Amino acid sequence: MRNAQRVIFFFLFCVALGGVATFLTQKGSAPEPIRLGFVSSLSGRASTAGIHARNGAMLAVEEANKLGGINGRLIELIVKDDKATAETAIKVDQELIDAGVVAIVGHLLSSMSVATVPLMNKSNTLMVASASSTSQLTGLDDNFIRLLSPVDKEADLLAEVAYTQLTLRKIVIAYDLSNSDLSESFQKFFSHGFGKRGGIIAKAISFNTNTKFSATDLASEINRFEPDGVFIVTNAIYAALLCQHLRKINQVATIIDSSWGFTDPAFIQNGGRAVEGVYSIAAFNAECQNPEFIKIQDELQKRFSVKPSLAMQLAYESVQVLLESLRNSKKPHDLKQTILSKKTFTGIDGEPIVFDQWGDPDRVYYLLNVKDAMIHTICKINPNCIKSSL
Amino acid sequence: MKRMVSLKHILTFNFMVVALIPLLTSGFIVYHSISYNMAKEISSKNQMLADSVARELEGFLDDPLRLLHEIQVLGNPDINIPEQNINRYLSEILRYHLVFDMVMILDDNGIVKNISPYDENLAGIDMSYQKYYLAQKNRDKPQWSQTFISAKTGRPTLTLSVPFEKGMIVGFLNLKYLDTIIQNIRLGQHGYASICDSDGTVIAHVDPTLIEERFNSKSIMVFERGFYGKEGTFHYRFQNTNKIGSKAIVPQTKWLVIITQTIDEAFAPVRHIQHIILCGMLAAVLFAIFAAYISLRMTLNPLGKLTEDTKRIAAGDYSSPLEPAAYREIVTLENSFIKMRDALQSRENALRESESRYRTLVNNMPGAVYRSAYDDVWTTEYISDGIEALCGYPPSELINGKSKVYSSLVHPHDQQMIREAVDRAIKQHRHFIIEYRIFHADGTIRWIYSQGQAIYDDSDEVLFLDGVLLDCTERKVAETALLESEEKLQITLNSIGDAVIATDMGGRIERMNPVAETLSGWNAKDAIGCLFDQVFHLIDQQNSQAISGLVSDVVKTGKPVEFQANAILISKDGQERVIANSGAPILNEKDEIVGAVLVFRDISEQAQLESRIRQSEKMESIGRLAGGVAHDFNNMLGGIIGAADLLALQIKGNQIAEEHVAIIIQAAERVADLTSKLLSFSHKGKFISKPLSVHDMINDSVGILLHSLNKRIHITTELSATQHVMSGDKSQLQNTIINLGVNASDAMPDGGELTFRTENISFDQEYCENSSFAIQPGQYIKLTVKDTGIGMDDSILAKIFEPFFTTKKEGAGTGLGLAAVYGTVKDHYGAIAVESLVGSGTEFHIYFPILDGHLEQQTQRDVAVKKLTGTILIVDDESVIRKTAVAMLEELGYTVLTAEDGPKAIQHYKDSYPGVDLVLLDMIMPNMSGPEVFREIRAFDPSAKILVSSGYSKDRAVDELKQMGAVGFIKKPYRYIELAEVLAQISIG
Repeated sequence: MRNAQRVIFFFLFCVALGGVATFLTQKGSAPEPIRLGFVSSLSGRASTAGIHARNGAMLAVEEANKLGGINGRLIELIVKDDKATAETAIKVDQELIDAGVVAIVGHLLSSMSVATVPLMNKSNTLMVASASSTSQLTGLDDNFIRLLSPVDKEADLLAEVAYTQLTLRKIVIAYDLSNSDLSESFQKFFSHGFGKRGGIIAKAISFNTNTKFSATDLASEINRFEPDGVFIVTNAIYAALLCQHLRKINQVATIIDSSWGFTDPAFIQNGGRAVEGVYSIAAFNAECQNPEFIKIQDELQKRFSVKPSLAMQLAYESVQVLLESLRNSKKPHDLKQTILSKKTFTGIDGEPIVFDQWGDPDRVYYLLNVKDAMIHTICKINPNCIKSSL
Repeated sequence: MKRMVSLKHILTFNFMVVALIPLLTSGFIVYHSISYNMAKEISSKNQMLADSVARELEGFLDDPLRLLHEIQVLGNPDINIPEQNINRYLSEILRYHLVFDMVMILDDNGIVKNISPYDENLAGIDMSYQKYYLAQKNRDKPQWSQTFISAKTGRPTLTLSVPFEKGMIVGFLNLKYLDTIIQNIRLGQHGYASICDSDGTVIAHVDPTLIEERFNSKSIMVFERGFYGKEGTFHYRFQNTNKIGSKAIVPQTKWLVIITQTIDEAFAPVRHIQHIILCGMLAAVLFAIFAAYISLRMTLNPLGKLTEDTKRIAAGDYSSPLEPAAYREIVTLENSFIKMRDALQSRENALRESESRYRTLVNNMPGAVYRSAYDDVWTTEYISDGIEALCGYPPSELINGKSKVYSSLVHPHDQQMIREAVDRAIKQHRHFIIEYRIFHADGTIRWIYSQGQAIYDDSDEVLFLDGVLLDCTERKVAETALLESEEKLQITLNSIGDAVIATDMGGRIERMNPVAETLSGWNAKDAIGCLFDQVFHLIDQQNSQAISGLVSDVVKTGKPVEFQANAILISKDGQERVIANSGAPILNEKDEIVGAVLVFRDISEQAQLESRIRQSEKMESIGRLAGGVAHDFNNMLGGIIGAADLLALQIKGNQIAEEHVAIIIQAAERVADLTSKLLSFSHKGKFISKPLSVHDMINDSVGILLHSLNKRIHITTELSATQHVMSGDKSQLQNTIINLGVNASDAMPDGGELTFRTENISFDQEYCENSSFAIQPGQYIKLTVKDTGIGMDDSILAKIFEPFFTTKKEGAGTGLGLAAVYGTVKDHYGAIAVESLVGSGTEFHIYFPILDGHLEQQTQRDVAVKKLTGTILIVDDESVIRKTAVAMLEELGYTVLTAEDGPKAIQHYKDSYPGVDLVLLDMIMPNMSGPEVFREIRAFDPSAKILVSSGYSKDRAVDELKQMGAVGFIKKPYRYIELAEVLAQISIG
């Protein structure tokens, strides 16, 4: 009788113990996720690149979570829309900081980054900007790291291509003040680079897509200077519309687009045949055969039904850099130091991304153009490549 | 003891198990069955709603299509609307139909032909790369596009396109239009509907930001499955909330309609039912427990009363009556208990009486009787009253360790011993006897004798320990005192330097100390019990007869026997020791002889020392005798040789006379040689001390021996001493080496090996003090002369250094060779030893003190004999010497004065002063010795030249006089030529 009593008690005890163990296991198996912030312009005409960037960041996070996260903790990506305004950018960044993110991926627009870096410094939160290549943030010891080289390099390379390879001598620049921190730098450094090589900037025309924009008027204004080349600095949709209207009145001038919107599929979709032959340079290899790039390209198509773009690539790489550093960094506050200590990372194009002491990278650029409704990679930029390719 | 299980508990438990398990099992099944069915019902309801919304949306989408079809009429060739009116027409349509934000007509190249509302940025531009254009191109059916950002509005949009002439009409759908469909759908408080396009992009949602930001829902499980054509209801988690989603697919556009509700809200009715079931189950359980309680109480109460009654009986209360019970079975049980109670009461009374008798018996026994547990502290279960006398504590304090645990009284040093002894006894199933100490209550220590044994149960487990305790303190104290006395006696005996042997009356050894073990060679353990004469073999030193009966002599006389140093004790291993023995009777308390004690003292070393001293004294007296004779001989020989030398001068030319004088001189010189050896032995020979190399002397001597010894004798030298310089007389030392070599040769008539070997050794203080030679501690060179000759026995060895002792044939040896060697060694402050074995050979070991430093090269100086003038005063008590000297000196040309003693010599010197140029002074004279005369003359004339003459040239007085200014020394008897040489070196006049 006593044995029976013992067996029953033992059974009940095991059930209770199992319940407690299950409870504890469930509690233990779900540690707090690592929160990562993402912020970009996700609404309005400028949102096409921002949505691509968000997709890239989401893809990187989902892949990491499939592999178990970091040290057993999943990654939670908190997405915010800065609505392409500085006030909203500061507001949503503060919300992300309050939510306890270890770092923020974003912004795409340089103006947003310039506005929010002081908040990053104050809150000691690292921002890894996908793009934001403005020269205003170059060489500063701040909580700001970016994946795109400062605009001065891209602008000078573009001037070299325009003058030497495309043999352009008279160019009109049309730049969008809705992202003035980028576009003005572009205009300034391109003008300098093109001028020092002997070219003439017939006119640098500014416009603001946040206010009234008439592609027809702008095209007429550009055409009035009879340039042999036009350099456009604005987002994908406006660049496409401007190309459309330019080609209506000028079939000759060579059009160069900045990397801001060139790789965005919306550029070609909205540009139609008018964007055929448009040149640009970007840290983006549209025909990359690197396995990592191919894999991401497939995943993007499967997950979001879109093709890769520069914004997507930079956001994806930003998350990868952060996650890799988080694996090797014990404290979030050490993230920047961990990144700068490692110094060299590999981009999805298989090429190195080398950070300097201020967090500004040096990476490979490609000469691109539109052909048959597709972006084609002409070559990796170096003097020989340009000569032989054109 | 095993713990008994309560019947009450068992019945209660069994009742609970029987009643609750079916109840809980059925409750559990009902709970899950209802929960499952309700959840399924809710899912079905949501799914139906989703299907309903999808159907409604399908119908709703007919409106935009119908609108575009209306526009298509513009392509009818029968209806000719001017180009400029087309845009207006489109505007009119849009004004009344809010379904589209914008409508445009594209030509077959994708160029915007018409657009409403008008936008100059879009008018006329190329849309041929737009997805919607490419999707619709060459298709007849209407096409819905994916979501994209409108270049016009900057907001997400999607298009519906239909063919138009060669181009197409494209309507940009106003997504707010879709909102109107889902906004009216509410499911509970938080449930809602949403729509996403075929790419997963949200196009209608209660949260407009998801639309604005083109949120792609493909990664959410419920949507993901939908994209693969699966409909149904799924649980998923989104934005940290558990949700249930039911989805349906819109056939026309492949859009997904999702009805979403939080789990908490959707399953609230299920939870409610679940709570009701759980409460019902709980109430049933409580009721079951209550029913069990009542039923058990009615059953168990009579048993409880009976239990209480039996407890009272067990406690010894036989008087209380048993309460009547309600059940027949229990009444029967009660009657049986009553019979048992009566039987128990009578037996207990008998037992109590018996116990009282035994208790009285036990308490009157000496010591105490106990029963203790076999545990860590020997818990006392019973102990008799006698324990109070043993330890000062009454049994009441010790039983069960009430106020004192018996084991705490035991001396800490004895605890382990007791434990081990009891464990050992239990293991062997034997009784145990232990003696140990306890602390009495008065603070004293008592010795306890404990005897007992373990009592076992059927499984051989120890139940308890029974035994008796007795006070054995007095006996232990006496034993301890005896043991201490015995230890002291043993220590005393071990400390005595003599052998001490105790025997019984019959001479059997009872005790012997370590010295006795050493002298006898017997181990005490073996010797004890043996007869004294069996262990100690004694022989008389004088007659070598065995000595026995020492014990019986002592026992018979009853008086102590003094030390007798005339016995040799032969040990077990044959070693002989000279001993002195004494003995005394051992008396008991009544002065009766009970045995004998014998004391042996080893005096072997003392005997050897005495022997060496006797030998030394003998040699010394022989030396003195020989020295005296030799002195007189020298004086006589001085006269003979001197006179003969002078006679030879005078008879030159007489050949026969010259031959006779030569015979006299030769015979006298042989006598002088013998005299010289005698003087060497008596340490009074000629002695000139210089630094010498022993190795050089050995090599020189070996050179001489090689030419003079038997050719069958092979001589080898092994000169390994690194320090070989000593101070000494070369002539004497070389004679010593040659003497030993010659003696060795004589011992090897048939040839053999003669070896000269050197090495350095050092003597310490102890060695020197025990030596019969006057040697000092320090570094020595050891010279070994070894032969392989016939050897010598002990009787010869004892005499070899005595003068005139020889084993050679008469006339073949003088018996002075080794005597001279002995004397030379002593003169040089050395030592000599000899080892010999008959038939094997002899080794002489000679030890000389060495000098530090190296030998300086000596140069020979030839002294020319020449005649000089001057006055010489001869002082000698021997008239023969005086006369001979006068004749020699005058022959040499000197004027000679003579004096037969010291006072006259001094007087002559003073009288003739300053006429005497040299005084030839004898050292040993009656009345006044040579040194005294020397001092007197030098006191009178510090510049006086005095030549010392003596047959005892080793005399230290000669050295002293040389240091005081003596101009030289000449040994007597001196030859004419020797005197001439010495005087030639002295500047006289």
